[in-house]
Amino acid sequence: MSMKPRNTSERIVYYGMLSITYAILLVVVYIIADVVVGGIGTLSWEFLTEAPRKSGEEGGIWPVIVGTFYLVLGTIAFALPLGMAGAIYLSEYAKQGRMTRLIRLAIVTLAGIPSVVLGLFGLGLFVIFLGFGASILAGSMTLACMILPTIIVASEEALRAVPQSFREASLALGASKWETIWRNVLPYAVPGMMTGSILGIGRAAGETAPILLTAAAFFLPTLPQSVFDQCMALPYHLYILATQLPDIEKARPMQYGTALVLIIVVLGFNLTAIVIRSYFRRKYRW
Amino acid sequence: MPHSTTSHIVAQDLNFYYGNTQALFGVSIELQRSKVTAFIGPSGCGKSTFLRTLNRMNDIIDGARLEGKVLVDGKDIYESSSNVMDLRRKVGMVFQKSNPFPKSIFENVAYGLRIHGENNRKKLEEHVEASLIRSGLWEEVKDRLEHNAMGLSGGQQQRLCIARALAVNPEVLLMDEPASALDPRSTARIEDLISELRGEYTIVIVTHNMQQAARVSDDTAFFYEGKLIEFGRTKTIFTKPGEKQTEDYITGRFG
Repeated sequence: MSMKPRNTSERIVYYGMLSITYAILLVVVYIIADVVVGGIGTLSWEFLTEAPRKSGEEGGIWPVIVGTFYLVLGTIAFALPLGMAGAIYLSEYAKQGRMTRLIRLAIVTLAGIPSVVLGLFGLGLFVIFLGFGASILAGSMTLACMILPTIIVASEEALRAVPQSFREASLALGASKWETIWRNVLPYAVPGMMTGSILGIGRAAGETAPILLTAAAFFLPTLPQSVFDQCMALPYHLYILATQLPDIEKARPMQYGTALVLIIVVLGFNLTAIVIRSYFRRKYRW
Repeated sequence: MPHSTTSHIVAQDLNFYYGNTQALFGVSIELQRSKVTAFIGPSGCGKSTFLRTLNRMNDIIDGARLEGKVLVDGKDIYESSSNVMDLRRKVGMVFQKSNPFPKSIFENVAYGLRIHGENNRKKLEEHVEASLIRSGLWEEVKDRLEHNAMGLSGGQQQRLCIARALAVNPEVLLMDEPASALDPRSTARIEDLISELRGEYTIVIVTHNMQQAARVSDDTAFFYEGKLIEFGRTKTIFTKPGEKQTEDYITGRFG
């Protein structure tokens, strides 16, 4: 455990750091507590399973939950394989040099692009140019672009953390490079890859700007029938409830309820990833 | 030529480079079938580099380059038509630091078999058992084959790595200082194991330990500064070395 410092300046630094840490914790706890307290009363079977009425002022949020669920699943489906493939290339195949430095620079730059700009990019490329229209498909792809850097960087780090000696031992037994990566590198890198994906998926579920122009419908009480349909989404619905209704005060319980469901959905996705991660951690230890 | 038996591995005028640094200078040697050959020499003399050219493990190093020929069973392993996976199956390797996979003991030994297409559970079990018996580990692990290999002691891990290498039925076993990280008792077990395997496999062992070279090997090669200085029967090398450098090294005057 930590030592309690004796010297005065040490003590100032120690308690300074300690209070900052607790302050951060406090903010998180406060936000969650506020949302839970405000939203728990709204949560009901009706709220969760019925379509919204009167722009969301009444009724439930079922199509909204479904929309976010589809968007996140679509995002995972695009971002995870692409991100992992990119990371495998960078870590296992690419010759380190000017080209890989350039690729890494591009990844970092992509991570720094504001999400609203990505939304416009998605509108231009997926919605208009590729003709997907405003749809779950276009929204998922836009969100995938947004979280790709997080997944690539985390996955590459996870791959690099696998000892070189595992690769050598496998190659020395006559395994091909891909067999070695597939059987004897990737499984050990899964926990680290999951950590990156958790961060990315949480962001994808909560972002409004990228889906605003590419997927989200203002009010669409029916469930989407295909990936080319528009859908409602929790963060965008929350934005509408909080700013676009004639009587915002009256919609307060709906806002809190939606916020609570959004947090639960994000935590639910994270929890799934954490379970997978700990399974692989327990299975392969070194 | 130290023996009249047939040569198993032949290197001809081998030069090796890490980028611009030359690590091996014109090494020519003939390693005898079913014998134990020891490579000795001070750190950085090129003995490990040379060992790793014999199963093309240096291929995975960026900027590595090789000139000359290495023949295994008379075939040039660096020829473009040569299959590196087949070669490594035939020429197995045990590393300096034991490197079991973070899987069960069973899966460690079965790994190479699975790679080469064996998925029949019964066959796998037979091979795993036979390999573990060979490496002298069976009695210690037969009741916990499903345990993680990382839980074994250092010496056991190294014998597991030997079992893993033996499981794919190699003809040659390359050992890169296999006992340098082990305590004396585990080292003795590895040496006993080498003696048991001698005659069945062509074994090449790199070692810093001169007594070890003298104990386990039939032939000894002395490397210095990337050159093969002397190669001959172990007995001769250790009693009447032909070269001054060899004598200085084995009598402990340098290195």
